[in-house]
Amino acid sequence: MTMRVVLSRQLAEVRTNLLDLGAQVERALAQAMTALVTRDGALAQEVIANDKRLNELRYTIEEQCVEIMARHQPMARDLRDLLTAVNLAQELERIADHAKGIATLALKLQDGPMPPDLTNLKSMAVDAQGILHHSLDAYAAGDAAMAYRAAEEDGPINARYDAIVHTLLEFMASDPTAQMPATYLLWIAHNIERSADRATNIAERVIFQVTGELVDFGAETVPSK
Amino acid sequence: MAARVTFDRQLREVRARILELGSLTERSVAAAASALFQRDLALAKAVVVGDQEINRLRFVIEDEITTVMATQQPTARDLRELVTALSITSELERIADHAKGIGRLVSRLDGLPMPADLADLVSMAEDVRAMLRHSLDAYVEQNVAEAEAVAQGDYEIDRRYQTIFQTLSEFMSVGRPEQMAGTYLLWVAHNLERVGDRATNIAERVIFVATGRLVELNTDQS
Repeated sequence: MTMRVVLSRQLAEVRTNLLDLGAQVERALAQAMTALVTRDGALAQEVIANDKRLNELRYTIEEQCVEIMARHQPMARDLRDLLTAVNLAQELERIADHAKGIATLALKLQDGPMPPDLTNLKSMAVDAQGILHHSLDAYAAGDAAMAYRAAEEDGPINARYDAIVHTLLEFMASDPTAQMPATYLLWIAHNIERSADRATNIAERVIFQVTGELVDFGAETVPSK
Repeated sequence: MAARVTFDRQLREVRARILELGSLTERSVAAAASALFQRDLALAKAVVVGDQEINRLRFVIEDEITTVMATQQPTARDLRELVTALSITSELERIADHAKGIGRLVSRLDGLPMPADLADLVSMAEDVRAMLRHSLDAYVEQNVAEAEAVAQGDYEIDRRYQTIFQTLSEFMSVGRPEQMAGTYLLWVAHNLERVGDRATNIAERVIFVATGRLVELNTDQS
């Protein structure tokens, strides 16, 4: 086997591992939200326990990349692919941390009052999952246009956050015991918003990988009004 | 010149540039906080505009690092160090984005009422700046103990955030302008909290390179 064939095969392995990590992170995020909405403590515990495995997988990918770089001294495009993989693994692992954060808060919200309507929070999570899913699709397809579309989905999330704050204020006004649950729900909104932010980072990276162009959709956090 | 000598020199240059980026970023966070507390719109605008220079510097550093990777045949150990440099560069640039976010919010808060007591927010801004400084010191000195101390700060910040929300929720019940101002201040707190979060990411990296130990110092908020 030529070195080139060995390198291609190893690069393909990295991609497979990365997409595997991506799929698991998507699942963690969905499960954490289900655990919250259905008040399913066992499911929340499962998300928390599983996070350790995702951390390990992230570092496995990073080590794989470093070993390939050291062994093959790849140039230009191959190097960019490897650096993209390192970067994506890091973003994915941190999204998993946010899923774990949501699950931890879901455990605290097992009993006690809840606002009557969690629609905005649920929609926000669905939006974030959509951005993540589409960013990973763009990575799998090596498609910059797809990545651009994924990054542009980030807009409505910040507006939803404002609506959530409004709901939580009403919730606290209506129920004197609601202060802690409202705080926890605000943290959950933050975890979701940050997941969306990191999913957007993934899309930015894919654009860089494919086109060599560095774009910044902006990590700054301001409401969209 | 031997390849190793060239490599070491290039690595030192990369580190020096990261420190330059770090100090620009620190200054930007500090300026955003003073713009907020002194309601200084001109300073807030300067932070927003200054972010462009920080973005530019980040691209320069990324370019330097990938050139070293492609031309110097670094060993696995060197590569780990370079991957760390890349990761820290991107954290710093995003920290500067949060400072810019605060700068924008200061403009939105113009003309709106402010709560009498912003002490918690002031302390939070000081805490995250200290975390950022310590994480950069830990990187320069490869100081694991200092990196670990950064994480302790992050717990404090999570707790403070909770107090801020509770204080603001009272203020926000007064009326519509208070509610808007309160929401903007929550976003400010959110940006500050993320600066602390990213400083902690830098500290984690420093620990990983120095010890090969995988730690998770922060992240899930609870």
